[in-house]
Amino acid sequence: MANAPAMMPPQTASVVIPVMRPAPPVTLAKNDDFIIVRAQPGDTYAKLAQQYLKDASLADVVADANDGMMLVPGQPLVVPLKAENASGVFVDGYQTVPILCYHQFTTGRSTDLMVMPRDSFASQMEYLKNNNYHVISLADLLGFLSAAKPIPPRSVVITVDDGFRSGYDIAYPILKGYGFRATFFVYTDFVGGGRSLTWAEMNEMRASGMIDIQSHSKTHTSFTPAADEKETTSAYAARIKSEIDPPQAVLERQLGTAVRDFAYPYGDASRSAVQYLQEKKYALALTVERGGNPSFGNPLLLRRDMVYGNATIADFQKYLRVYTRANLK
Amino acid sequence: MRLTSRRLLVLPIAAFMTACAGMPNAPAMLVASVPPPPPAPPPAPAPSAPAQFIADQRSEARQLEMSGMLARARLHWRYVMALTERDEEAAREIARLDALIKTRRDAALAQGEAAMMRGRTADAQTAFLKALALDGSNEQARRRLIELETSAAFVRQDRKDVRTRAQRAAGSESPEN
Repeated sequence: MANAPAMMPPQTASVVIPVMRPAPPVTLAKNDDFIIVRAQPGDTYAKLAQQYLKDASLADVVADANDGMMLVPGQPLVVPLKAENASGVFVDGYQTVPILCYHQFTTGRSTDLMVMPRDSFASQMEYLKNNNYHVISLADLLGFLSAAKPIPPRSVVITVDDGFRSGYDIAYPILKGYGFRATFFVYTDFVGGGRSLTWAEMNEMRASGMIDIQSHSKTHTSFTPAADEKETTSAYAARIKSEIDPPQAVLERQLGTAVRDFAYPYGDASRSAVQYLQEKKYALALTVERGGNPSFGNPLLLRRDMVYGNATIADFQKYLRVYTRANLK
Repeated sequence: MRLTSRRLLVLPIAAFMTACAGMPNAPAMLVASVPPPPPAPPPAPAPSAPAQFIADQRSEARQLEMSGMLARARLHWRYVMALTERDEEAAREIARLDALIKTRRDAALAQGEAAMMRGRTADAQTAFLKALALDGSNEQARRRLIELETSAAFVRQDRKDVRTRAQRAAGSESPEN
């Protein structure tokens, strides 16, 4: 281009021409498992997680892959496209997901352990937010259990049983305020009662995208079989079926949503109930056996931690078992 | 939080400087005036950020292996492989770690099966967990761990059923709802 200078337009002293240096490539390497990129100005782990994993809540997954180091523009970074170890099992232990279980709420005080004061519930949700816990949905948990989708470290699930209206009046606004998703398990014979949720309230919560409504049986009878002489095997099987099938049909008709999760009344599971739920293609079923859920938990026998109304923050912390330490070298 | 060999990485100054110099789209404003200023001298050559990053990955992989984190060490060698045309050391280390992981995983699986046969469920669980820590996608270990969890859950439920029936007989119910 020997003649190039002659072809340039005339310049004056006041003209400022920005000259762009060639930008270094953002993507340095990529395969099915990870991508290595150059950090850009303004990048955060949340931004990278949103950009590459389509989920900002996975920021800690990206941070973990880079040992949590501070982001410096130009610095190479690893973004895992698949979980490094989908089982969540590492040489020092394994990830577990606690599922919190609430029932009723009150603006005042109550001596009933099943009733959670609003202020206590708000403090617990604040604690989750301030301590970097990630509230995930049961659908996200299913992804973890089937090794299909990574979940953030310190993941927690929130559930509310029975279908009391206080869930809508008190818990829902607080959950919404924090952007926390939750699943409400409703037993359908309760709906229409004086203190129960209405279908309109359930539909409103479901439409918000924050609350999922799933089945908690028809009548809330325990699935513990009666003593042998009082309930035959076939009678018990019929009872289980009558507690699982009708509420599924009612919820699907009233809410237009697929029912795929079940909370055992009183947390009482049984071999027959698990088998029946399996036949009916339920994804998850929840007991009230305390403890976090590892990736190798049975999806139809999940543990949950009941949070009683008199729980202090110290009690609450004990329920948040997100990692079980073990020497697995 | 997963165990790592280091939590905060302090970048070497040279790499930091290089990274800043390579900021994308940084507009260098050239004032076209008379007389034009002499062009800025090119920056002194320094190790590129990827070169430093690759060196860090090699070092990290060795430290992780020494700490017993074989799967994670292998992953860091894969980062090296991904950033280089053909890195013989990384290829060799990945092949060596693959063989080592397989040997240890298979030993853990065999220990787990033997413990299952003897009814030693806690030992079986630990062995299968070790297999999963080495190979997170191992179906045999995962299936066995689910079996163990399921059996334990039903044992707990059976005990609870006994209590529930006793409470029913006594006319009281569990507060668990």
